[in-house]
Amino acid sequence: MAVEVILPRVDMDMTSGIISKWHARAGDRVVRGSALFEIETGKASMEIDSPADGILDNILVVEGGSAPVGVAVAYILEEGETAVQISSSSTRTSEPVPESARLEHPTVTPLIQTSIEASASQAPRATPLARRLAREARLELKTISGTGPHGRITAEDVRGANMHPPHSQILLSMSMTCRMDSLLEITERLNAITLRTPGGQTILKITPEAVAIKALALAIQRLDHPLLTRASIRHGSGHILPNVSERSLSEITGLLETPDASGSGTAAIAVWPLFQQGIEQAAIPFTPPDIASLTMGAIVETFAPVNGEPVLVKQMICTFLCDSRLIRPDKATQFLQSFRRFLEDPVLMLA
Amino acid sequence: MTVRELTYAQAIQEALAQAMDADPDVFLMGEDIGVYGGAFQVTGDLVHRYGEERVMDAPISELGQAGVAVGAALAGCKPVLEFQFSDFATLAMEQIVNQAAKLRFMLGGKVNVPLVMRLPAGSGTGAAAQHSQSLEAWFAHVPGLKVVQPSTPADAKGMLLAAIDDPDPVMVFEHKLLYKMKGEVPEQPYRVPIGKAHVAREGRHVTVVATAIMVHRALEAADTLATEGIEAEVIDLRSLRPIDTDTIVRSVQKTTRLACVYEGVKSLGIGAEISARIAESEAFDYLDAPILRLGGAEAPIPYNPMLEKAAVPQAPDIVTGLRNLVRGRI
Repeated sequence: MAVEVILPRVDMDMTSGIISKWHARAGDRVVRGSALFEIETGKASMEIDSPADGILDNILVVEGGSAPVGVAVAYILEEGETAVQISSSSTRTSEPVPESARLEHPTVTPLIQTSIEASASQAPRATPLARRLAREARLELKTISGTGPHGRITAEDVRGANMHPPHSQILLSMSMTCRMDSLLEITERLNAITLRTPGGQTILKITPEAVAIKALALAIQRLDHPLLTRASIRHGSGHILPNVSERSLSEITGLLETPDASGSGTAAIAVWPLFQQGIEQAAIPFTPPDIASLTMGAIVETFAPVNGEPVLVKQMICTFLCDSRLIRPDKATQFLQSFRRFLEDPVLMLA
Repeated sequence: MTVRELTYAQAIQEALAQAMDADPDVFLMGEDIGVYGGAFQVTGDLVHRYGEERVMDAPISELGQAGVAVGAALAGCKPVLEFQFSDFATLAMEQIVNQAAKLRFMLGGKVNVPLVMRLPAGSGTGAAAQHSQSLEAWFAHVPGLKVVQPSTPADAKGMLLAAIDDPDPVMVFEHKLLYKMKGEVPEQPYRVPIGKAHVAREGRHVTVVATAIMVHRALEAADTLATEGIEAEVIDLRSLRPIDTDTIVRSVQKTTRLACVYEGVKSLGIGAEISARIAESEAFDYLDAPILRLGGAEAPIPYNPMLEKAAVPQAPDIVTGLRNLVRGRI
């Protein structure tokens, strides 16, 4: 069997490499473990050893040419094995390349085309986790390029692909009016007492925004979306708020006050609490890798019917905007409902 | 509860003494376990404390010893049989595999074989091919046997007492390099349940399922990798039959990667079983890399000390393997 000569990843960030020199030519006998070619990355150049004993053939990337990590750049044949056998067995084209085609084109060009076409028609290599994430995020594996060995698609590649969607987003917008009386009352009650940590420090006053963001964190947990983790809330267009569901309200208030550049490249829901700004309703757009935004408008006092009687209440309209391919309308509805439950009755967050 | 430092061998001896104190039906048998104190000095002075009737030196016939032990167990005794080297259990295959493991099933549950076998195993002592094997997976293949591999002094005591309580035959594989290892051991008798794995170190990048001495090498490797930002979760399997699949599945769902490290020959061994269980489980959809097995070489354990070391995974091999796995090079 022919052995693939793979362009290896020699550097963590490396996605492709330039072959600066081949130490052997097509037809040369090579020995496993001896230097076969040199690659150049952004940082360094490195000698790569031959993976097998045999005859070097089908050099697919010439000196100075580049190739993505994990692809075959040449083959090593056993004695008596021919290149035609490779194109039919190793790259698995549906039909073997006729002998004549090979003879008419002794250069490498046709083989490159064959191998690219063949790999495009095959099911892509992907880890089970990558397959599951792609399935759940409704992304086609074919549209994702793999950075693992042999071009294998990993979970990271799927998450990354989501950052650069191949098509424009299909936006879904939903609004909901929420009662804010309990939330404001609880905030006031907590701030009426001066709390101290066991270390004796005074605990920060908490803000209604912090309570709302905690409610959002718990609603995200319930949503259980494959692209969202515990660090999946972005404060406006700024930083990621980490592990909000496990933090106290005063810690969250602190997080909102201290800007921090962490969390770029993470899929998140961007949250815009505009309680004080006088804007009653807005749908603020989000940019990938984020998959949604939640805008909370001004808290306004108004009369609302309660048991048929007008009662003075505090209300807020929140608007959820998402890519409907990543969060389906039924899931988005469930999510908003669970968010409103926590928001309108924050005691539920203790349950 | 008083906790002191004991060696692995002392912890076993304490378990044996406490079991004999608690139950007159418990007795010990094996080659040179009496006045000599055992090839690895595990039984020590027990013959002076409990007498020759309860700490019995046996002639050099493993098949005969196992036959006596199975018969005594059927008759209501609780024998603890020490094989001088686990390799010699091959001589007693008939009694272990065809009798001890089968009788409860073949007699409709009317009898039990409460037999405990203790088996010093593994390489690293320069004892060459016939005295250095890791045959635990052979026996774990047999329904009717329970097979455990404690890796710490505390587990050595707790699992041995659990094995003596157990109504079925239990084989306790003790790695020879662990006998001198020290660790905290509670003084009172206690049981460590058979069939429960132990998460020896928590981590989030890769799950390492290890057995016996490999638990310690995996922990050493995890320390090294932690300095590179790789956090390995090390699971001490402790029990091969039954296997605690749940603990491994949960861990792999968290870390998305699996490595199995064991001293037995790599092929057709513990790693194959664990890999297959993960492939069959709900954790399959969480795997983000191929499964890595690090096991013993496909060769008898060599006498040459350099080769002996090279024949089984060492901490640097585990570091390299896990690093490649987590960095996406495999």
